[in-house]
Amino acid sequence: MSTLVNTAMLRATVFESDALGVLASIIHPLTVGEYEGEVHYGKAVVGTFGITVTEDAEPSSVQIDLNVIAGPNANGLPRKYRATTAKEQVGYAVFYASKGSRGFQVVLRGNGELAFDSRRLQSGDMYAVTLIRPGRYKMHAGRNGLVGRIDVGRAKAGEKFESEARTVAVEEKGFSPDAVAMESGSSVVFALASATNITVALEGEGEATAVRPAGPIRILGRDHRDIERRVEAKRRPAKE
Amino acid sequence: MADVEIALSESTVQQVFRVLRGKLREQASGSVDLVHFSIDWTVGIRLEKGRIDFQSNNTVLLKELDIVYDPLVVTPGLNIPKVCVGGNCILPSPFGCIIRLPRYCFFEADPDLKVPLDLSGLIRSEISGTCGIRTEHFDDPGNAGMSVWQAHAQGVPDKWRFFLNPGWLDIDLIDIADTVGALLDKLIAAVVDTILGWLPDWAQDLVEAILGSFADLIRDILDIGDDIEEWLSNLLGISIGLFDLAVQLVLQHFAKKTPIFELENPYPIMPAEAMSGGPVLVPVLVPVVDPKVVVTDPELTISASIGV
Amino acid sequence: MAATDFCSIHTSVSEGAFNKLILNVRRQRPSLFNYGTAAFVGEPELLCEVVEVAPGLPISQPRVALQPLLPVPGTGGTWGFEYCAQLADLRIDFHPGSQFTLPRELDPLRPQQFALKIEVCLGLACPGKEYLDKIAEIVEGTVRPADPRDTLGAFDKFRPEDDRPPPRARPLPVHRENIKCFCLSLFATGTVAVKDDAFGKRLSLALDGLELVDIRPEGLEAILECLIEATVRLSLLPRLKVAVDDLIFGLGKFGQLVVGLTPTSGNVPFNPSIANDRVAVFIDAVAS
Repeated sequence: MSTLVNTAMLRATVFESDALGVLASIIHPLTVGEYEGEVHYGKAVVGTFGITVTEDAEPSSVQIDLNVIAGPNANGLPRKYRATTAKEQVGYAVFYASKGSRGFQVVLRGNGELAFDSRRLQSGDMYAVTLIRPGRYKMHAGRNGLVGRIDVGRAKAGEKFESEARTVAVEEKGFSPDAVAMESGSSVVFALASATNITVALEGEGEATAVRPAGPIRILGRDHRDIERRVEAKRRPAKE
Repeated sequence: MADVEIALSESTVQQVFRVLRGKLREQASGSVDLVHFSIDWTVGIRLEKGRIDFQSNNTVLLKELDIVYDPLVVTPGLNIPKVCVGGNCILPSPFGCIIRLPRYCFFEADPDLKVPLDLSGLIRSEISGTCGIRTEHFDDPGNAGMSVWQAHAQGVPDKWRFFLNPGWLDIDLIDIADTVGALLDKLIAAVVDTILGWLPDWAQDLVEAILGSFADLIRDILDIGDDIEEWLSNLLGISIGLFDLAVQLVLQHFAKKTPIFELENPYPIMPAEAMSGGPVLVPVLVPVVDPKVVVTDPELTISASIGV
Repeated sequence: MAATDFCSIHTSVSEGAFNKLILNVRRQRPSLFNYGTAAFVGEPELLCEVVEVAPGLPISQPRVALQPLLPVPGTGGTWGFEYCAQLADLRIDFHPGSQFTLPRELDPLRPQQFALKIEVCLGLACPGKEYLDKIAEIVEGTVRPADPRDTLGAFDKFRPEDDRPPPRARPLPVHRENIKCFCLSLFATGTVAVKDDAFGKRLSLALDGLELVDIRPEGLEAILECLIEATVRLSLLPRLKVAVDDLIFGLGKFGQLVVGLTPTSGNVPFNPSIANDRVAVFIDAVAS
């Protein structure tokens, strides 16, 4: 059964924008044009792709799973993606990895020129992480020395799950806000106002280590004796 | 009056019925796809109790014949939904969402669990109904082109056969043992353990927060309500069609596969005879014409005439 | 009142059923009803009455049972008559009796009795006068005149011809136009019993009285009655037994009913019982 579980999600405790892995994504704005992309993993180029951005009535984004680009490609041609812009608005590419260990990087070129390199995010880019493991996380912004914290609380079984996406601005002077508290399964979106890299790392497990209360699983949430009594009442008189 | 009449008392036919009843052993298996889950099932049936009553309107009333389902193994195949986080919209617009975060799912593929539920001997239903007697002439294909003496000698004579001819049949689920509730709990516990057992406690909390209680989920998938008896009755009766199948198996056994009795036609009244110094004399075979079965309150009467 | 008030199984067979059974036996075992010497066996159409045969009865089945020649007395077994004998009709009637009228010696049919009517036909192949003359000449040539002195003191003398086997009888010639036939009606009464033998439980018919109608002189009637009764009782009736155990119902692979006759009592005074032109058998049964 464990092979069916996305174990990378369970093990992820460090998230780095220049080494993309599960539960994290980079959102980059795009203008009209043709872009050629490369996916790197470590020092190797593991796949190529293309993005076509056209103008339309409404802007849109395209989700690009780097695992898919790095994976087998039957016809050998680069995969193609499309996004749209609108008047005075941009389109977006959302780069992410659905599984596996972190380490992906993306380079985009348009008209032969470098348009984007995930190894160093620019102003206007966004970096999002979805945190499922409860505990206290430290957030760092590149070499600026900016720090902040994120407290992720344990999900409450029996309570309705509410997932949220909290936005943290990354400015020259620091994270704003620099402390975030949220429930397991929610996301933090870092909106960059200047070029930098973001790192989020788990510092302390806290509630994560608490053991779930044990007990018999009751299908009806009530005592068996109730069930037995009702079955008995419905049973017909004993036959010879 | 017919040439020959044989009257059987109700108690005699009751004895015959008990023997036939005790010998029924039928098995079947199959699978069915329902909305949220599939079921593989294997069932065997045997009969217990029950009695027959002759009716004055030429029918036999079958009363309180118990069908015991043994073995009965029901294996639901549960399609556990993907459990995912993320997917939040971070740039909405009046016309939809411009940027949506990716979704990350706990399970790489739809897990499809099969956890058997052994209900052997715990479920019992009851058949009541009426039947008449059907007479059928069986032309044995094995005697094509043969004389009647050759067919008799080869053991492939034609026959008159008498079957139960069912009228209405009513089947009720009458008994579910107490332990079924506990069995269901064990089933669900096994499923939950299989799905969640691998996850750390905090992840189990998250999964359950997203899906709701897993036990509730299983209950919802299986559509188990407050009434186990009703749920099981619906699952077995409607979804699997178990009770209809049991009736069909019983009907086939009595009405098609197994005649109550049969007569050779023509019927041998004198066996073959060896004569010293001469050929073996053929058996004397007498045609049986127009056999009938009539049921009245005290007895069942078989009548027939003799041909030449 | 139901037929099974005092038993598990009640079987009732009509006299018509018996007569049809007899007809089936007669047509499938003609040699039980037709007897004759070699000439008649070879040409059954010579018999007095037509031999009825079931359609499709194999050729191998004898139509006429072979009988030895009837020796001409005084010929030392040298010459024999060809003859035939047939039970041309055999019918049964149960009390109270409706199939035929009984002779006064047997009338009326008593309760629990059955009556039989048997028509017997006999045929003798007489040689024509000219053939008899020729054969007589041959016979005269073989008869040695006796020496009166042979009667004195010769009793202990060995006569080789005494040890010779008797000569094989030669049949007198048969000519269709010279076959003399006549038929007699014979009536019998009897009762029904249940026998338990190597073949199982069977109904059998036991004769009480037998009567040939109007044969003179009475001695001839008596002799013929004796002859016919012996034939019927030793040859025909033993085979005309209906198997009670045919009432055992095969339950296929599931076993059988074990049957036994219901013991007689106030409620079942006779078992089997003959009444109302039918014979009824009361049976108790247990399923195994």
